[in-house]
Amino acid sequence: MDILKIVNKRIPNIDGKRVVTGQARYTRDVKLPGMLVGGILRSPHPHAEILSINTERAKMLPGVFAIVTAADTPLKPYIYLGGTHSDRLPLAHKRVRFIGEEIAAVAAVDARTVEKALELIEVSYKPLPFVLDPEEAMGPNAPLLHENKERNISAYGSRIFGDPQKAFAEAAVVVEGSYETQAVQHCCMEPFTCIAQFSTDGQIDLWASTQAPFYVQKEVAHVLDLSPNDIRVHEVRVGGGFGGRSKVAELEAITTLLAMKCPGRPVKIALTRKDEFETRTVKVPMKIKLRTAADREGRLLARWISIISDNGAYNHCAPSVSAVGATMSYVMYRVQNVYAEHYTVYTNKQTTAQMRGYGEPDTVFAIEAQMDEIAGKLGMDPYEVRMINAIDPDETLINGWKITSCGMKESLQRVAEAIRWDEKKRAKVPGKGVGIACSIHGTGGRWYPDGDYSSSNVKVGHDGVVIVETGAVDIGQGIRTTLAMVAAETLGVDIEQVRVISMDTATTPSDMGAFASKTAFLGGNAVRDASLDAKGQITKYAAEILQVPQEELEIKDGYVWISAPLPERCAPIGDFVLDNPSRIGRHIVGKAFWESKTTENFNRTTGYGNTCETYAFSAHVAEVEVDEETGHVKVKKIVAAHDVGLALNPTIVEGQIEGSIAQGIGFTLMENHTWDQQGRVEATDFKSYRIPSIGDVPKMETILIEPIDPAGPYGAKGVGEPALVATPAAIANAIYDAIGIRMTSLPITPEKLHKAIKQNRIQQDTTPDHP
Amino acid sequence: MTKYSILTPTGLDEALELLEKHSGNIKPLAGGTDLLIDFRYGKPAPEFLLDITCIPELNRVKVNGDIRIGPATNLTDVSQSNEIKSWYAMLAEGAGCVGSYQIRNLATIGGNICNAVPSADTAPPLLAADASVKMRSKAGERTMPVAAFFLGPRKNALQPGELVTEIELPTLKERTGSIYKRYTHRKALDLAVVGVAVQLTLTPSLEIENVAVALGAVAPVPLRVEAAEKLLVGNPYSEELAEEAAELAKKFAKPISDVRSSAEYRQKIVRVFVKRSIAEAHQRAISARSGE
Repeated sequence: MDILKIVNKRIPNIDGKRVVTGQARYTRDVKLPGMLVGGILRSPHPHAEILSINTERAKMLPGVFAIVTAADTPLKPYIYLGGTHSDRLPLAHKRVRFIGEEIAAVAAVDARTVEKALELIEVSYKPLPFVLDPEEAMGPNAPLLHENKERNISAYGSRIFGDPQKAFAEAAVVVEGSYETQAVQHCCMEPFTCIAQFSTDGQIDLWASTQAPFYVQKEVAHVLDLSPNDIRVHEVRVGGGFGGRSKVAELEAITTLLAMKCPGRPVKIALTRKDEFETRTVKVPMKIKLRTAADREGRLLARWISIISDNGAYNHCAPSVSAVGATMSYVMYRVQNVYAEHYTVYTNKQTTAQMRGYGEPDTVFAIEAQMDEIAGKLGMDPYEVRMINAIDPDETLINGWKITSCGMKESLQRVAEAIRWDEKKRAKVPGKGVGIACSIHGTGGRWYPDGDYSSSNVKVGHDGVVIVETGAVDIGQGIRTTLAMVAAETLGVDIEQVRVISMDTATTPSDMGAFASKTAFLGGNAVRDASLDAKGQITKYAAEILQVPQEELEIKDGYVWISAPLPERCAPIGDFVLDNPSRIGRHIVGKAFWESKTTENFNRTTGYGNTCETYAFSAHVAEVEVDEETGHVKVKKIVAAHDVGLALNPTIVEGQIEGSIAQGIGFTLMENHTWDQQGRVEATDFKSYRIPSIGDVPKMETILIEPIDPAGPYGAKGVGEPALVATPAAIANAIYDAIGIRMTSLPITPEKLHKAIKQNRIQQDTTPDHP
Repeated sequence: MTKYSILTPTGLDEALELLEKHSGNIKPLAGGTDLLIDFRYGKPAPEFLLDITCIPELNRVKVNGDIRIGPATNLTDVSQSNEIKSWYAMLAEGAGCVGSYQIRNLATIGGNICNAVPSADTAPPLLAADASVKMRSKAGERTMPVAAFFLGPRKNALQPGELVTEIELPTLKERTGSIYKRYTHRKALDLAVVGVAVQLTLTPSLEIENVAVALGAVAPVPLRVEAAEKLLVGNPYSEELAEEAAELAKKFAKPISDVRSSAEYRQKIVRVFVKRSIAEAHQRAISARSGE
């Protein structure tokens, strides 16, 4: 590869100054003339029949412009792309299934009027029995949430590879256990906001804090029976995603519906943090049963996994989160005999869905616990057991995943060196410990049929300014900077020459959205190809004007160069855009649609097939100190090595990893989204729902392993989600190393650990043969 | 949005005047880090807020043998005052762990005690220090021990028209060490699950001459554990003795279970933290320079 000038360099974020000086425009900053305030009436019951809704009194209130209920909608459920999984209406119809479910919405002149109007809406309910625990929900006496969903099972999947029964019977060592993970909030810095404007010509303009504007366009059109291209989702800054803003939500549709009732008056719905906590999606909580078999040398022989996932009241992405979680049991390490099953079960709680890591941090927590237990039983080092079973480059896994570049073993080696693993394992200090864990994560993928693509236009103006148009969304991860770098590198211009227009469904080419750790990979490939196209057009014009063969022209530093016989700088690229100086608006437009080539659509039945073009790997080590008297865990250090392919911008990549570590620490030790016995959310603000402060985040060392990926733009892979996957498992394993106690449920709060320490002491004291 | 007017008196007399004039319709405002948030969460606001931070005499630390702290002194200033740091380390530590830098730059020591939440971080140190609270109204002035000032969660001993004008800390003997330790789930921006302040004075022969053990967040008001203090006084420090005192503190504490912690766990933490605090206060007493 040629020497890179921009890509792989620490280029500062191109939007950084705007964001830190408050000039960046988030949805909340969008102020439109005549804008109304929208508000939502929510269910006070976890499960009830709606007998009637009377909005007459509310409608009479001066200042009220619109009130909508399910009766105003065509009753089409959303998550349209989820096919048969679609089961939720934007506004509840006849029945509510969780506290906080949307029943009606109001648009009025100000917040006070909205509040009053909501109070005036009369709803009569017939409360129904409800169920909050997924295992109970599967039981014979549980109330059913949805018709045709026996035992409240929304989705079930199972896979069998090889002969697990035989392999378990013949194994030298078998370990098994039950594990539990909690619901977690995404905690985006910007609470969700949506603005919709309807004009009498039928056009709808939307501004929304979303990770996936093209999904929003499609879904809103679907649930309201509109044509997608009548809806334009505009570009805004988005203050965080982590999966909580992925695909569609009910609110975009509700806001649009309100706006359609008052043409010309835009409507804004802005959630409070309390609304977010009480009603938006949370991470899927899982109950995991796992069994692992290995031979005498520590090679894995078989796995058996069964997951019960809490779906909440409606389907979002929990069924596929559960499937991906289960998949980890047979792709993280080489294993030939597998039985895996997963249940996604309805309960009367807010919907659970994807969050950074997509079910992987949960099952990896269980899988990596058992890797350590196998090591313990065989008298081996946890590091050694992992190295024996680690994936190699160019290997095909049991489910058909074709691994190309792979830095798993190198990641393990590098973190072990960095933490001085051998030394720390030899010189054990009571209360202190180290733990190790790995991850594998697909970059993008055909999880939806043919949904592994991105597209881009790259325009070059006569002033040499390059405009990158991309459907990709910057949710704070810095993708606009990364894509600008790819364009600058490919075109041979300075980064200062590049502007990025992103996520406008009317003007930017289509992209699935910022999820599945794929934007740099797919968007990067599309921008690179579009830049190559633009470059080709420029050199073609230049060749005609300069009367030299096109092959002898190069673009460097924003100039066209003749490369032979001696390099000679000709003129700025803009000069070759403008064939006639009077045509001031002319652009060269490079175009590309990039789609993964070697992948197969995800087969929901067999689970077999190479779903992703490439896979990213990591290893984390955590060093902890446990206060055995209080149960408090102090994370002293985390070293994270990530195979990210070529890091397009190492600073951005490290930012993703460090942010994930912080989030992972919260997930492991503090964060717990809980409901009381009535199905009411217990912690509704950051005072009671604790996420780590800077004081809780330890020294982090990130190591980038950079094998050049054959399919990635300049060799890059995705890093957004992989970075979170290994942290919880590494911390839990370090706690075991420190005090010999295996924690099998998250979060490992001081109180919980303290209890486990006490129980362990009682057990030791009552065991007669204890030394 | 709640509406109120902010009055900005330039002197104490004017402030007391205004308090009396608008009695029943006015509240003193210092940093606002509790008050304004209450309003935002829907608690009714009075018509007037009396900004006491603009009264110079309420806004400083005075040292003259004893230490007198104006109630409008912000927690950053309290935690960084050299005199408080060297004589009352526990108070500097208590003030220094409230909220975050930004909050401590606004929040005041007077506000912290007047708001009177059980987990207030300056309360146990003030209690252990035998601090007293001076209050004034148009009618006159009175002083009471801080222990009597706390009446219950969010209840204090102020009468209508009265303003806290000073918090007084007595002069200390040499060979005194103190510490405030609090247990929180996260390092900063959190409320104490348990707060412990210990102040300990040694005799020249290193017996415990005087000791105060105070607890926060384990009862409706901050408490002194007199039983533990009695046990310790007259004896040389030992780990066993500290353990025993800690056990007494644990029995004495009457915490509640809430979202943050169960009562049972809070009691355990009381034991561990009292034991550790006694040990550390003792260490500090030994290494404390003799008073000049």
